[in-house]
Amino acid sequence: MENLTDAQLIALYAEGNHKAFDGLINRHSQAIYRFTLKLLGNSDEARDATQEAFIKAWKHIDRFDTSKNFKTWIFSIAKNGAIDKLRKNKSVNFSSLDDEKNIFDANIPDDQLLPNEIFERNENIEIIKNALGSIPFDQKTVILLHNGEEMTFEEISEVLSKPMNTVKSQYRRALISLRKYIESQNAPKP
Amino acid sequence: MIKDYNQTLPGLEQDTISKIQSIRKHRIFMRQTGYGLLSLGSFAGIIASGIYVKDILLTSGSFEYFSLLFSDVKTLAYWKELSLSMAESLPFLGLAMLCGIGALFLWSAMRTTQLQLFKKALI
Repeated sequence: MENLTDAQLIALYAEGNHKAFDGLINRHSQAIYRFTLKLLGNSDEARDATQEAFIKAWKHIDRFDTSKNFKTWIFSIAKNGAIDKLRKNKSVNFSSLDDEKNIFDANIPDDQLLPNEIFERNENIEIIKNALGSIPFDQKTVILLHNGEEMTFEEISEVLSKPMNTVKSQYRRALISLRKYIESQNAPKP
Repeated sequence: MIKDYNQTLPGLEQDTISKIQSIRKHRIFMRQTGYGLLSLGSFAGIIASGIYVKDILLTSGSFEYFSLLFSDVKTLAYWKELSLSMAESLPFLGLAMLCGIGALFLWSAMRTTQLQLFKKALI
């Protein structure tokens, strides 16, 4: 099972091998847990969101388009589940302006933004956590998927069902916000 | 750095698999119960419609045509008239009902057995 691709596992499952879906769970559940944990900030809720995402995927696997990527599909389900949980807790910071501004932001040069530098310079995990908590939900999701799960912008645009330019501009704005936040935290206090 | 505070949750995979397994078992149980009840209901229906058809056959005189057919070979010479009379006397509605309920019983019993085999394979 470990050598098979996600598409092959789904095909096997469709043929009646129910163990094939277990292979997908084994492959992706920790990544989904990491992602939801960072979105929700609570281990129990992240575990529930992960399990619910896989249960939802299992229930609707017959509707899954096999020409698409299972990983982005399950991340998309997990993200929606996390949003629902955050809405229940009413603690989500959605950026309504993101979609309107992306056309202009897509062309902004970002030479000064070095994401690894931003993150690696700061050894204080709490600062990173707080910085991520300070930015809008969509931007945070893009950062987590790109820097945390090493997804490409194309994959992220599939997860978020948004154009790639929007994703890229959200990423840039997230980096600007993070940098500002981290710099303000690291600045010597008078 | 983002990856540095990545955490794993031991046993998450097995917990998720177990949860799906229990939902699957519950679904099978519910379906099996449904098909089982349908099997029982249709079996009762077979008995009831069988009695109904038998009563109609007795009163309509169809059996007499049959006995005539087997007792006197000469009647075969009038096979057209005989078969027409037999057809007229047969309770078609009752027979169709009996066949329909019989098919429903066979189908639901087959599904119940299939689900039982699937449940065994799952465990």
